[in-house]
Amino acid sequence: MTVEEFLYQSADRLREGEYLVPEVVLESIDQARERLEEMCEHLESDPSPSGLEPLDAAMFEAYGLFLEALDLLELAVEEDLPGLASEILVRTQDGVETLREVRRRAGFHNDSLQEEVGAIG
Amino acid sequence: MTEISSLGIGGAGVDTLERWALAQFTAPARMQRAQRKERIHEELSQLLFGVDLSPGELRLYRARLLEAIARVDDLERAELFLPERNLSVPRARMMMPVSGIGWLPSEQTTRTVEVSAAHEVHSRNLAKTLQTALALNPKSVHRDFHCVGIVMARGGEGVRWGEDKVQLSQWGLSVVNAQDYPKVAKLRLPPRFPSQAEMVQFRAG
Repeated sequence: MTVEEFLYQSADRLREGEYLVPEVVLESIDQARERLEEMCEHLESDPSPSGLEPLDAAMFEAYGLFLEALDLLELAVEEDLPGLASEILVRTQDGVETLREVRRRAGFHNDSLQEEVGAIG
Repeated sequence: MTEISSLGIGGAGVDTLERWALAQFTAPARMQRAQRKERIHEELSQLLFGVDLSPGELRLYRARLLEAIARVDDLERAELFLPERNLSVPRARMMMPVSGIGWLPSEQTTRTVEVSAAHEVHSRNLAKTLQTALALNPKSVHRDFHCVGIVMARGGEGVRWGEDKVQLSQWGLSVVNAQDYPKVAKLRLPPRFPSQAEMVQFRAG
């Protein structure tokens, strides 16, 4: 299960009134956090050149949204607060949309530069 | 009482995760999130704006764009190793320990606990009763706030008793009387009562 699927499924089940098993969910939250923090560190150590900084900013935003969703999920499980499900879903969805936008924009500019490289030979 | 709308939504002035989570439900928090999203998309639309690239840089920038796409893929495909157990169980099948006895609550028809005006009235009535009881015996440190007797029949073992009791200290009682719930770090009430967060949300609404 991916981080995105885990967040969607957990929030859906909370919303449906199910009881999330803390032993399973909290362990998965820790794993997901670790993965996201590794990705953040990797990006921090290798920033994009001038003109491409917005890609990094958008990636940090997506990582941040997923991390916030994980924080909320942890609280929902530990304090038994199903009402937080909607906020978890909103953040996950925003994170997913940000990733899609990064892919779309990077893909578009990659195609444009490829044409230029081709024209130059 | 602390107004939720006055809490910092980005972390400033929010000393606990609980308070931060409550602040996320406010209108300013939602507006700030929407603005942040808009700003990120706006910045992405200005990618490579005004950048003049040499032939060598063109290749370098293409490589960096492909790396960005690979980063998105990495995150979308990041697999978690979940233990071989269910992520959740229906509440109707969840055993709750009550005074050493496993209690299986009856299936609920409502999906989540809803905070109603009735809860508020009930809580005030209980507080009044307890205030009277406290006046009669002021030396008592803890008082029963809510007490539920549970009768269980289990196979041939006959009928056994369980009890679910919530006690409040005099300080806790004062908090309930003052209806100043944010000062309560953790207020654990039986499922039919609203949790602290829900009470705060209800009061804020």
